[in-house]
Amino acid sequence: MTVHSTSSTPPNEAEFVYTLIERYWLGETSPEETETVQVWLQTHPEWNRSYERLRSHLQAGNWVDLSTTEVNARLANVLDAAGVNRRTTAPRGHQHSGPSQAELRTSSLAEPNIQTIPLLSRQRPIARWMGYAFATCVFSVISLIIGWGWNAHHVDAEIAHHKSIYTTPNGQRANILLPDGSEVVLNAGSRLEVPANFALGVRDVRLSGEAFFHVVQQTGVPFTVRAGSSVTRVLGTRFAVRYYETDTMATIAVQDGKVVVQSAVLTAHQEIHLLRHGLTQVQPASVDRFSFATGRLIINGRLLQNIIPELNRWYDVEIQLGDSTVGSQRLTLKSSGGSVSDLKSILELALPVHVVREGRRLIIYPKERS
Amino acid sequence: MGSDILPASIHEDMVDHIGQEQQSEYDQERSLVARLRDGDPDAFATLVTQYTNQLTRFAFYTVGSRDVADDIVQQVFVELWERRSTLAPDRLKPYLFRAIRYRVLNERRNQGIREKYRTNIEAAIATQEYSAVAESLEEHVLTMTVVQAAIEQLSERRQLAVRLRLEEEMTYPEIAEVLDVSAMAAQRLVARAMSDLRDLLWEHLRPK
Repeated sequence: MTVHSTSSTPPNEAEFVYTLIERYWLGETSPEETETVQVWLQTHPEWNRSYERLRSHLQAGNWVDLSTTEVNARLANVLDAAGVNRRTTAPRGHQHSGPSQAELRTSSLAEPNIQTIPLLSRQRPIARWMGYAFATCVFSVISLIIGWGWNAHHVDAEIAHHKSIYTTPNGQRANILLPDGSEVVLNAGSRLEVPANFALGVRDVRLSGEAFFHVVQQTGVPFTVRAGSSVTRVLGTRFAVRYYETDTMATIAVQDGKVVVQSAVLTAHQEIHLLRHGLTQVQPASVDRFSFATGRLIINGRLLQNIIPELNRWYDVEIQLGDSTVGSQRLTLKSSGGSVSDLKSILELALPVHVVREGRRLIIYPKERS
Repeated sequence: MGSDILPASIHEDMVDHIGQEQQSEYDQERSLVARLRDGDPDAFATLVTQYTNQLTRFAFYTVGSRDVADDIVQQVFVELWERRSTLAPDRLKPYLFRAIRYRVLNERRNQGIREKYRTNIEAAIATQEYSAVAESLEEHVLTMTVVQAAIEQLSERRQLAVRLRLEEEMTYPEIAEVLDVSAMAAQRLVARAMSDLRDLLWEHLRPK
């Protein structure tokens, strides 16, 4: 059964489009035809978006590309299952030091660090995408070689010409301005990938960690955020997305505007969670959901042992529990500070604990009664 | 439904044409395969890293479960290692995709999974009760559902063929190898898929 639609395109456009554009996309046009289409596309650049949309429709509805960490995990499983012995340690993802590292800026916005590619590339689309795939493969090979025996602490990388990647280490947040004017506040320990064709009108980013988005409205061009397997679509709005590796679920919360997450629609002050088996109900957003965007860490009566990753990321520390009882206390704090000694003081004020500090490591013991 | 877009004449060299980038990718891969044949574990690791995402996605199309897809991909890689010394494929990519396809078909048979490609288009139409006011965001979401459903209405082979062409960027001879048909048949499958989708796609894909 096919859905019929009345098409009201003028005959010339339809004929041209049907006979040439499709074959161009399929990579079947002769060199002369290719040139004809490319010239035409120069004056009709919006058709490039149509190609992107076709490709995105072809993707299985809920497929999300595997992250580097996920690929490495699968590699480890394969090597194990196949009984492969390697002389060197397994690679740990892209460890290529690049020129761009998002820095903490409290008031001003970071320099836009996106490389825009020319709207029209000389190659046909299929070859261009092959180019990206090829370069990514080459890059993987190089980074595997570099990764062996390499103990770099910072894991930021810029894959030139194909996408921009912003990462924040623990203890830092960043303000990022995207080419369409949208702003992103990236929380600590997070990573945002912005594809090279963002400027062409495909506003589709991938997030690992937590970020607050202030998206500028562009008619007919939704803005998409992928985190884990969650997909969030907006037109213009303010919202937060969170999915750290230490989380069991992705969380999307709306401050203002309207957002679509898979099949659910959220409006202001609502949030939703994506668990392994699907979406939860839409709920009122918890009040402290957006506080990180204004530089505040708010914790409301959470068990200490559960928020250790949170504190580690915010303060760039490594917290250890001195014994098994101290973690089951509940902690409430509101903090704008960021130093390790701030955290030590806060913990000792808020809880009956004694904190031993070794550089950036904090070990928490119950306070001895004297 | 739209006219057939098969070009008037199909040149053999058009069917087999590959770009320069693709050629150097093949050369690089050929050297990796040669090292793999010699039992180089690092060449194997490189190939696994390179192909994991595409192969898992490809398996996922049919089985619909990430866990099952992961399993299948792992089996294929293990088998690749076990058969490394007898490897002589011209190009590794269609060889791997074909292996995945073989296993997913078996998996589906064994599990009695109903063919995933028959999506109930009524479900898509039902979502038109979404909102009385045509908000472009919801329209976009609706479009995704309707177009996705239309794609899934294609026969499995046409759907696979068009995905392999546009998403995995395979040449027709490669698609032919994966689907176990001739190169010309592969091109026809893709052409027919685009033809089937044309009215619907152009309705929604045209720049507004």
